[in-house]
Amino acid sequence: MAVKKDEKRMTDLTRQLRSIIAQIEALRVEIAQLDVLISEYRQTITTLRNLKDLGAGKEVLLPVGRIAQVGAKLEEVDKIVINIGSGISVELPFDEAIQQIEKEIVAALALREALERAMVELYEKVEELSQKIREHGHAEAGEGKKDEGEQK
Amino acid sequence: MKESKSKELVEFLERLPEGRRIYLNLGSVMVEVSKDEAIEFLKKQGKEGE
Repeated sequence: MAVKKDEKRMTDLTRQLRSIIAQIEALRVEIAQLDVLISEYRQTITTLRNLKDLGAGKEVLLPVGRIAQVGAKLEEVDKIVINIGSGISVELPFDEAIQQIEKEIVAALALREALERAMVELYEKVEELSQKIREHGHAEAGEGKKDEGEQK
Repeated sequence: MKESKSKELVEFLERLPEGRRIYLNLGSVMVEVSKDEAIEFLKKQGKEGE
């Protein structure tokens, strides 16, 4: 009876451990996606600044699909159309557009920090559970030896 | 969460000075709309999400 109870306890602990590890993995994926997003936002700011510096009249290539590009003439880069979410884009003056993207970066960084904190907490839980599993394993091994001794 | 984001966007659009162009992203096409049309679109989206 006690053996069954021990086994159940061990199964519960391992199940909890697996679930936490899965949560950590999910957080890791989300953080990686945020990193890509933040890097894209930063790249966008750099590209917009470079285009503005190049000024009107420069020839640029516009991508059409994956493999084709057509030439176009750059106009003054003083207005940018920014996607603000929910299927809506808005034309903003250059500086306002940059500020808007920077705001998105700040929000993404804050979310990233929160996810990292959650991950640290989960790692602590993993440590705690591993310790419990080890202790449980030792206790079981001790019981086993005791039983063997009694049989002899 | 989605509802508060939608509300935030409506407020953002309402604060926009007149004359700013607003577009709806419909697949790969962007359609120019008025501020009222954009706000209406967001409100409708909000209702559908409820």
